[in-house]
Amino acid sequence: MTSAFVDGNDIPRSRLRVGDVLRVGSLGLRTRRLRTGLSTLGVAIGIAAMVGVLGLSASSREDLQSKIRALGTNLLQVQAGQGLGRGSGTLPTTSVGMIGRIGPVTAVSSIATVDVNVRRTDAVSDGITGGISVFAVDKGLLTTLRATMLQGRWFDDATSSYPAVVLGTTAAAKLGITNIGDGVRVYLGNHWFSVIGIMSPNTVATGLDRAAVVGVKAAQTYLTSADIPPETIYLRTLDGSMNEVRTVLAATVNPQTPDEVQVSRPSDALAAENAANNTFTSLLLGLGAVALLVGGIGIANVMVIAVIERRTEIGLRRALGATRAHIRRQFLTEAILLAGAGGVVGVALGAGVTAVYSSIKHWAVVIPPIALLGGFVAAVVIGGFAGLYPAARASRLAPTDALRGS
Amino acid sequence: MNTEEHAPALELLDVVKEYAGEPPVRALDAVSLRVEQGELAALVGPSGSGKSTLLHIIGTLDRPTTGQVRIAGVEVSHLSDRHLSAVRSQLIGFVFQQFFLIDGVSALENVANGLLYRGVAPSARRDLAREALGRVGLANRLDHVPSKLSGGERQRVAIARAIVHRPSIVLADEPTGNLDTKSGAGVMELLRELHVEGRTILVVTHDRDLAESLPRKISMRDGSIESDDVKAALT
Repeated sequence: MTSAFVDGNDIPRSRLRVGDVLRVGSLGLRTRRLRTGLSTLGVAIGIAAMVGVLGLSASSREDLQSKIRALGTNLLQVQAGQGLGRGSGTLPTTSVGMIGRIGPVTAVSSIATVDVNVRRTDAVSDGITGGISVFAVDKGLLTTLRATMLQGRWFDDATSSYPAVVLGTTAAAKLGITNIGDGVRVYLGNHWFSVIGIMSPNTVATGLDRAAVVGVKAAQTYLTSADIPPETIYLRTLDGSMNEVRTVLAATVNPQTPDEVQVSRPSDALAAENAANNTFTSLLLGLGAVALLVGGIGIANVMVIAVIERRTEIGLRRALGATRAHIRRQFLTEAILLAGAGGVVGVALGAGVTAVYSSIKHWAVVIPPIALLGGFVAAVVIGGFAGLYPAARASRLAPTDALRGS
Repeated sequence: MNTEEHAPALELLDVVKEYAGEPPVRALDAVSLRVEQGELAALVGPSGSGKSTLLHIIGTLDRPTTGQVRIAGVEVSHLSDRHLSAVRSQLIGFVFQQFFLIDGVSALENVANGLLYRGVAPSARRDLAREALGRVGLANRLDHVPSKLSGGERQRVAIARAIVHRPSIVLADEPTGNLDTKSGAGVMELLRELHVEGRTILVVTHDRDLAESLPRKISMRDGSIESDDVKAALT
């Protein structure tokens, strides 16, 4: 019996439970709070920047898209060409009628400037315009633009020929009119006009925000004896026919000189704004990635220092039976937990920034779930990479060297 | 456990340890040694005598260049790093001069760490740790962190950690080296008690008086065993 011996390979293997890997891996974080906080912050800032950029761009994109949806892509705008040799600035008086005869056109409305001033009362000198234009419009304009009223009413058959006026929001504010109670009037040209409504801000015809709007008939009756040629025409087409209508518009409006007619689609401008935003988003995302990389290097740095400081702990653990793999797992877990905590904080921070900024801008708060998940996963992956080298270094330490201490 | 019931706690046969260099340094020169189960022995020698190297090889923290090492009948001299870790987790308990307790972790958790790499469930680890701390007289210090304990108490925690998994041999490296005389005496008294209970303990020290007070004194010089005295009266 005395000569018999047990083969060492039969000794039960060292074993570290999964729960214990987490417990051991979080030890350094629990006992070194300040350092944990600071290195977590480094990653958090990077993640917050990326999540914030993605969230804000998604929110602003959503806002633009909802504007485009509200506006519709079947709205076309016709204006007289501007600039030298480009004509008079007005369209032929027959334009509205001609456009209305194009088959797929479902609605058409025009806007024309009337050269008079708006004043709060007749006691104000007529040289003071306050930058408010007066437009003569037909009663279909509100529907054609899909615009809405903030207060009061838009023109109907009767009021479009009466001395009645609808104000844009900016114009109303400039005139000091916040409430269109009974009998609010403004002085247009040489007549008192009753204020019957205030429009909500316009997406397309932003000029209306700074204008006092009257019916064409009322303008002809009270403000000018001359013809009022249209300057801008808005029309809606059937959804599938926008392009066909667009091709024939110029020639329909002005058969002699179609070059002097400009046709555009207002939703295109919003789409272009959207595209410009996307470019900017990529740039900011790149900066966020740089911040994250710096955070990751910070973690690698902290982990290398931790491995040096904790040599004797490593030696002790080896003496207690930890294998190299156990030591490696411990430090890798620590790095991942450190970065993962940064990821959680960063995602929360980024989402918070998006929510606050979007609310200030009156956008719907849109945070893509992929940004939240991606932010966290990116942090964990960064932590894993940052921890690889320090963990390998810790695991390669010979137990006898580690136990000799510093 | 799968070890031999009646095998010696420790058996070295012609153990040589050489460190590479020009010329190679021979730290251990054909050391043969046998420690039976239940012995309390001192390994004594001046610095440079090879006792630290021998301790590392007995503790399976290092491998001999040639020769055989058996812990409780288990041949360990040619095992891989992973298998040596397993041997340490099962068969060996360490007590260090600098205690090597983990800061910021309670005495109970520090002792429970002695079972950590054996895959013992946390609640079972704590139960055994509580028992071991009771054995070293620290039942009332379970939740104290090392910085709140005296030097002597810290070494008792470390001893509890070294015995919590019931190893075949406890290796104590200068266990009183960082302690005042009174605490040191207390620690030695504890080791003697554990010996009486049947544990195998090898105390490595350069303190000749301390070595004299133990039942067996193995003296080293220049990488060899110079003398090996067993005091019949004390055993």
